[in-house]
Amino acid sequence: MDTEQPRELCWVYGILREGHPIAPDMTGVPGSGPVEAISEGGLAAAVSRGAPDTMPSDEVLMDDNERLRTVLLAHDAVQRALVEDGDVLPTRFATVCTETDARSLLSAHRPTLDSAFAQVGSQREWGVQMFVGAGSAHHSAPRQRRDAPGAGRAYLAGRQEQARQRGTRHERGKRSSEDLHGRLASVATAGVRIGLHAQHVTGRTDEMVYNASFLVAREAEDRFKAIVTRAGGADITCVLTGPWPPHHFVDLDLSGDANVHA
Amino acid sequence: MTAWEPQGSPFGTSASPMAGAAGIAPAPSPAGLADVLDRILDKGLVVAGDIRVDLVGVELLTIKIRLLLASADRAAELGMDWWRTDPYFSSKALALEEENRALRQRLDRLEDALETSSEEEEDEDEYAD
Repeated sequence: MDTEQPRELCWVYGILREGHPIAPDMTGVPGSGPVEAISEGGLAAAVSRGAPDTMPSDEVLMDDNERLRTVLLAHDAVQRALVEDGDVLPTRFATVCTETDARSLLSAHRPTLDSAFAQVGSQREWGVQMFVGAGSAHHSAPRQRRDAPGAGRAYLAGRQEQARQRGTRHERGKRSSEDLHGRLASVATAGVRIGLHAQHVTGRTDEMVYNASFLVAREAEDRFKAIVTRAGGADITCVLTGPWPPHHFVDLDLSGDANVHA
Repeated sequence: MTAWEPQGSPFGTSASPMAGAAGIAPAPSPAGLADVLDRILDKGLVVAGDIRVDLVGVELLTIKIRLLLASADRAAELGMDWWRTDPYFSSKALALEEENRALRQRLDRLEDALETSSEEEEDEDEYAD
């Protein structure tokens, strides 16, 4: 690695095909300029440039949660805007390099990147989540005069009943999500299950029982969405997110290749 | 209740991913942050190692964020609980706090009522607090 401190760094969002349009007003992560393409031999890297001392650094990202959050969301917003206008091989969060390195990467790994594009093509990633149960659980608690005799016991019995209902709901949700996963997988090219989010993360009162992401061909997107739409029910809510760049379906580690600096 | 709740970019400006999709309007929500993290941590093309110039701590970052999502209490201890200051999450938290407070008050009233009703006193003491 070059020991001399470069004057300018590039924050990398993804690899594009050359000619991929980028809106002129697309802003990059805080501390960097507008998003632009660095083209080399038919491919391009979507980057935003910044001075080393303005670009989000290790220290800032590790120590300043609010900055980290802003940078994470900005990085994602750029990637998602890019996937609206063409194919994107998303790069991992916090990939930073010099322009020279970005060009070397594109030329040194051209065959690998080409085959990754060929494999993923114009397919995009869609997320599907299923939630069961409800904030309405509290409303099903027995309602009676608060000072009536036996009210405390009835209240606790009600809470027990709620716990039982929650168990049943959870089982039902699991079955529904297995069924949903099968149907989505039959339309999608590939799918992965993701870890479930706790309620303090989702900020919802119902419980996440299913979280998955799929690679879907553009011509299959309507069918895919229709399956999600039909999967909801009385106390089952399905949430669709996307389109995302194919994060889960681009599994390339180019970091070990010495040719980068060739 | 709609069975399908499309969630767009947490940014209102640059991306509006669901616009036009099946004619359903986008419903941007900051709750999408966890979904973003599901995708941009450990995922995608890795061009790090050789060419990354100054961000040597990406793995550490990833660990930090995973930890943050795993445990609310731990995150709070470490001052990583950004969702508490997020208007979306904090409004939920306020609602829960309010509900919690109402329930406590109700329990207090019930316990007071029980104290005056001597025949049930023993049973209910088990549940006090």
